[in-house]
Amino acid sequence: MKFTVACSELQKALSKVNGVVPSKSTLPILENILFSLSKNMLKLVATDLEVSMSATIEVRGSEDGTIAVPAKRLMETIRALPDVQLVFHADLSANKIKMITETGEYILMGESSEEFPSIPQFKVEDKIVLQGDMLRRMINRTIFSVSTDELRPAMTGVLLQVKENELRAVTTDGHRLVRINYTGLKTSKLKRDIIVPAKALSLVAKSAEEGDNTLSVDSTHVQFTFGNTTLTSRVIEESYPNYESVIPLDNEKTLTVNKDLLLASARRVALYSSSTTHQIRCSMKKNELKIAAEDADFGGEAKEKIACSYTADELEIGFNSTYLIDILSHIDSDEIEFKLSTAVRAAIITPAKQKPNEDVLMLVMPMRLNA
Amino acid sequence: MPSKIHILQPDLANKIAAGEVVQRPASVVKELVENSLDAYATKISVIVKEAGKSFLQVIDDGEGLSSEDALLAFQRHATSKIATSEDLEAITTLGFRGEALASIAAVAQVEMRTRQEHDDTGTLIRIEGNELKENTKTGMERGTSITVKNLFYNTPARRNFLKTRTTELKNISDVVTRMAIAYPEVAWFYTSDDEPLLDLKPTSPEGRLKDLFGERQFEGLVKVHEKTEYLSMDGFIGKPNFARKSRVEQYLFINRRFIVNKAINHAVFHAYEHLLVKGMFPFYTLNISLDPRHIDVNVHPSKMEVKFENESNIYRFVLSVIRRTLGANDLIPDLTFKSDETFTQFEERLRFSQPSPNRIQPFGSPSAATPNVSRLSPQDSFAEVASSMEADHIDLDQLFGKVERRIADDSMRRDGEVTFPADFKTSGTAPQSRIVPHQALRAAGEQEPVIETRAIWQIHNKYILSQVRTGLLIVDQHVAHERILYEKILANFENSLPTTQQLLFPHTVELNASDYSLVKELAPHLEKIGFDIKLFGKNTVVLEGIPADVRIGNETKILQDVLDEFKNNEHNQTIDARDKIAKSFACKAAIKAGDKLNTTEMIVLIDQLFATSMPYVCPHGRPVVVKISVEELDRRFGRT
Ligand SMILES: Nc1ncnc2c1ncn2[C@@H]1O[C@H](COP(=O)(O)OP(=O)(O)OP(=O)(O)O)[C@@H](O)[C@H]1O
Ligand SMILES: [Mg+2]
Repeated sequence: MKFTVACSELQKALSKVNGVVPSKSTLPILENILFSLSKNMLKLVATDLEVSMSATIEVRGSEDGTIAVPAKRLMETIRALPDVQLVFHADLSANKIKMITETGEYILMGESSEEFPSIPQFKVEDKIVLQGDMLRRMINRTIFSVSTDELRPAMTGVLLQVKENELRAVTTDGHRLVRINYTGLKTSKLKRDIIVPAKALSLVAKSAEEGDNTLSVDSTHVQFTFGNTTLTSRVIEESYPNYESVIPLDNEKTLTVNKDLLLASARRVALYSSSTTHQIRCSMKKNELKIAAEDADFGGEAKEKIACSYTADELEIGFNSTYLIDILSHIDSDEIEFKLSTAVRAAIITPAKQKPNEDVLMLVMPMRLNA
Repeated sequence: MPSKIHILQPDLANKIAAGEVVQRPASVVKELVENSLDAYATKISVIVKEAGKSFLQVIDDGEGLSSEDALLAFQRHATSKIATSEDLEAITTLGFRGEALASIAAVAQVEMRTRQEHDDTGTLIRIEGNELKENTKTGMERGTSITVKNLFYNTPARRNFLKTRTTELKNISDVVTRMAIAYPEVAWFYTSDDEPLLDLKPTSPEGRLKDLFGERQFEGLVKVHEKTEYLSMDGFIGKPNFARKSRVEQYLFINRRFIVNKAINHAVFHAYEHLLVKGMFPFYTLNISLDPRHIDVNVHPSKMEVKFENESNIYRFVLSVIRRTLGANDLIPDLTFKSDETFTQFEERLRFSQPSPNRIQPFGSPSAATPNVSRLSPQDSFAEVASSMEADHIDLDQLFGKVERRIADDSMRRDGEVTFPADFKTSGTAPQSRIVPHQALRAAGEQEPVIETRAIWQIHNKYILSQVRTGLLIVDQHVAHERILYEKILANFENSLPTTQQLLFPHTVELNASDYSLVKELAPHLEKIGFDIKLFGKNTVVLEGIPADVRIGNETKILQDVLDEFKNNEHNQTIDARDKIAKSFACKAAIKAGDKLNTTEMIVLIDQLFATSMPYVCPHGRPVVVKISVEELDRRFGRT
């Protein structure tokens, strides 16, 4: 197997798939990237068995073949080289790889391609086209609230609901929930609910390209393609909790406040909250929001006042400050709106003004206040 | 008919009465030494022969007696110390009955030489069996010397009752040791059969303990000091690893009088909680000072018992002070690996048996084993401990390092769980502030934080390693968190301050019938912990909120886990339901071995651990922290 390629080209392709390579795996072969050359097309594949990614680039091929190359050493070498021409030459019988530049020669040991797990065959059933920035936006705004609880696998992924003209992304960890509806979708035939593992989507957010990307689904897998890169992931075959039923519709107390003010204030006050519960309390009365925290274990307390618009009955409600801060830092709107009911019922947070084609809703469960 | 009842001859009556005061040579020593202390002596010598059976002498440099008083002193009920019954209510001297000298004189041959500062000459009185044999003038320095020969010469039955020489001498040594602890400002000299056993210079309480027990054991002690308007307590208690298999080294004094009191002893013992291995007893020497009107010493002829006006308050006071002192000090066991090299073991032993300069040489050192004083020898018991530990594979060094964390400062610590009754309010600064020592230190800027925040690692997702000033600290993450949660829940029970995270998807739990009724029964306690539970009937409960401490991933199982653990402990009748549920929850909600922690989590865990009242053991008694000193590491790498 032999080809010539510009280092910078190879690096670009490698960095796309490299994110999938598990840093420590029980299956050492997964720490490799599979190189397959057919004529002038080089295909790079990496997988952690759940998610796999492949990228294709054009090279000057002279001898077809396929071999698994240790990802870490390869990446480090390519990164350290200036943008020179590189001859990649693999002795497939000995799994020995020689990379030659004008001034250097680097030999590393690969693995037989037969050791490398086969990538699931994906049958494209239906697909939709998504704009890269929209996709990235939806992922980045939801993924922070997926659950890490392996006992509830459905919640460790992002629920993607493809509807007539709408794509909806939902995440929840049982304490908070994010739901984003995007309504600018070109009509699609694909009408499906899928749960995509968080790791796959964070790779998607990294690789999505400007312009059109496609999302397609078969019975067990989801595939994203961006240019010459594809990402295939197992979907989580569980039923997602009925999130619609827990989003209250009758929260009648409305509070409107500047997001940056509130976020900065919550960050400061949170420094004084208990290091285990992170509880802060928010008290609202006419056009005034008070945030306070106290660390009962070690002493120390803080309170701040923020102007807001609020006309409902006084209310005091506690939150885990990390949840609140997470949520606030994932809303991009100058003004935000809280919809509240009682101190033990879900609080809804939305941008005061939604972006076109977009409907963002975040929800956080309170921490019951003592005394 | 002649009457059956008749008045006893005075000498017989005296002999009978003497039986209560003078039971053995040691009681004679005690009475004489008490008299010397009451006479403001600054130097007291105790000289005994044949364990005091044939000869016993106490010499002091106290205020002495006039020749008239010298005679009176031997009269029954003759005392200079109290006059009215009000005086009896507020005894400030060790003696008060006026019986000791009379009792001694009834059963021995006694000679007193005494002289007051401004008298021309001294007085010599010799009495045998209450009969005055001699009364002359004599030349001497100020002070009093009383010689007691042939104790019980006229009551053979009593004489026969005496134990072996070793035992009787040990009893005398105990008396002298107790007195020497209580009166460090007094010089003590003590010989047996011409062999000097103690020669103690006046010193501080600390100095006296060092002189008596050696520097090395002194390092194993923690200072106790607490003062309230009602009473104060001072002294030293042993770190748990210094505990002994018997109660010998427990010294309790009330207004500097050695006493025996089961309740206070129990309070101290109880305060050590799980710190002690079964069958081990802590070293302590404690003096409680309080207005003599609040106690009654006139309970027992030996004057070794005291009745308190309010014993249960004293009990709680002692328990709380000792507990807090233990919690506030560095009790982290220092880990020393068993050394293969026998010479190091040997050196180790040598270190144990090095005599302290103030002690007279052969005192208990193995080379000059004098069996009759061996009980008094601290080194012997050290050697015992040392050798019993060599039997184990890991050798927990008897010594703790220097105080690692400066949490010793009481005012920085969380107050003990026991609240003092109103009249016990501490007069000093109230230890209310709950500032974590770390943060306090950081704020202070000057002192280095004890655990350098970067020097913290997790190994095997199970133990936290951290560099501390004097070595390496190893914390078991699960038991550490268990201790933190346990104390938090107990506090919740007291103050009703649980933090509950409401759940977005209420969690339905189906229980079996017996678990369901258990939940019903425990519901109020579970709520205090932070569970928001709705009983739905049909063996179904709905969890709408969970304690905020429950880690993500544990939410769905926690209730069942706690119930199971609770049932596991059900046979244990001694602890109450609240304690059991606290333990069960702490055990199940705690971080497990295998949970990966990030740096912040580790730091928070350690901060919280050292803010608990007892960071060194988990609620089930397992150790939480061990330390390997730099010296130990150096030794292992042959750097010493
Ligand atoms: N070493 C001494 N120096 C000066 N005075 C002494 C000495 N020993 C005894 N006395 C005097 O003799 C008195 C009688 O002593 P004794 O020990 O018999 O009675 P006590 O000390 O008053 O009461 P208790 O019977 O409780 O000891 C004392 O009250 C004291 O005045
Ligand atoms: Mg007396």
